[in-house]
Amino acid sequence: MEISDDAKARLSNRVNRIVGDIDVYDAEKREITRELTSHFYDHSMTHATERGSKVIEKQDIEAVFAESEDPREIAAGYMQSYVNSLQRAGFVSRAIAFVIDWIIFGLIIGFVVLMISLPFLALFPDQFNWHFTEPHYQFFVEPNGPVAMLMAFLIGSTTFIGMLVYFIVLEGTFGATPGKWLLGLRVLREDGTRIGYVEAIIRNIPKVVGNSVFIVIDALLMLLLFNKEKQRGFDKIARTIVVHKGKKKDRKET
Amino acid sequence: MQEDIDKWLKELKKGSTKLSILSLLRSGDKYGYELIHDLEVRTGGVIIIKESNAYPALHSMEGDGLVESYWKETGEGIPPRKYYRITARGQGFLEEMIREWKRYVNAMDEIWGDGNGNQR
Repeated sequence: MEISDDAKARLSNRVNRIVGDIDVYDAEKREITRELTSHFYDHSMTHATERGSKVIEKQDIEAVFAESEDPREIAAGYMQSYVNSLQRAGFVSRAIAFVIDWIIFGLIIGFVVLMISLPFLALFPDQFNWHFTEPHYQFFVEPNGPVAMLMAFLIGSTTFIGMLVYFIVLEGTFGATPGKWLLGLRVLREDGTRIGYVEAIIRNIPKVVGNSVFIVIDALLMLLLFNKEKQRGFDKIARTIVVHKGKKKDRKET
Repeated sequence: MQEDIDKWLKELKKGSTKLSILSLLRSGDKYGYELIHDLEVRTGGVIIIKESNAYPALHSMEGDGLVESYWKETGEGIPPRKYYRITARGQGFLEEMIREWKRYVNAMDEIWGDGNGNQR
């Protein structure tokens, strides 16, 4: 049966939306795309036939979609069946991603801090003690006054909020920080579905709270206790895993 | 109350997806939409499997060697269809599933029936 152009576009659009949410290897994605396209085509064809038409129109597609599920649900269903075949990310790739994240974050926050401090330093120089030590040519300022304290507070809170946004909000929204994204890693729930902000918050607690000690301990926990599952302590608590997007598990591992 | 019943039914149906799909494949190779549609029609709308359930189940059964798939051209401007065929292993698994299902139904019967499927 023929299909009108706008119906075809609508169908293709929906299938791509579904498959876009399925993080598996490309060959599988192509296969799923073909099968779902075929499915919706056949379903729409039934609909078109029922109303006596010889062409699949947009209304048939729309009717089928109305009866169908949310694209995310369909994607989640697929992810649940794929999760066991995805390769989980180990210590090395995750550590590299973390280092990259700190470099990127450091650059961004460094720039922001500079932007905040310059006006303060320029307009209220007397609020700071300026030190210039001869032997090593070191230069630093320390706050000495209420306005300077305000600047220090702004810098501190901006940095903290920046950390929350970078490590938690980004991961909760996209399932990855820029460092992870560059390495092709994704954070998923243990059942393969996408994480939400709750998981992002819980699993990143050791990164945001306290100093680097916590994340190091957490990473060690992974190496010592949960190496098989490739989960940090806080991954276990949040029930999250980190996978190599679109990479099948090696045969020898299964 | 209806909402709770629906939730319970949903879980129940999810557990019997493989059973219903394999049963249907016993009578011949079918493609995804055909399976979903036939199930609905044959059971008078009682068994309606959603896409998020059916296709992942088929994929998982293929991984387990219970079914095989192949693409078939349809011509006439219709996109090719992915057909599924039950394997020998799938047949064996199905027979075992039916045996267990009957055992379960009988057990349930013992709990709330009088042995003839009638409520006590």
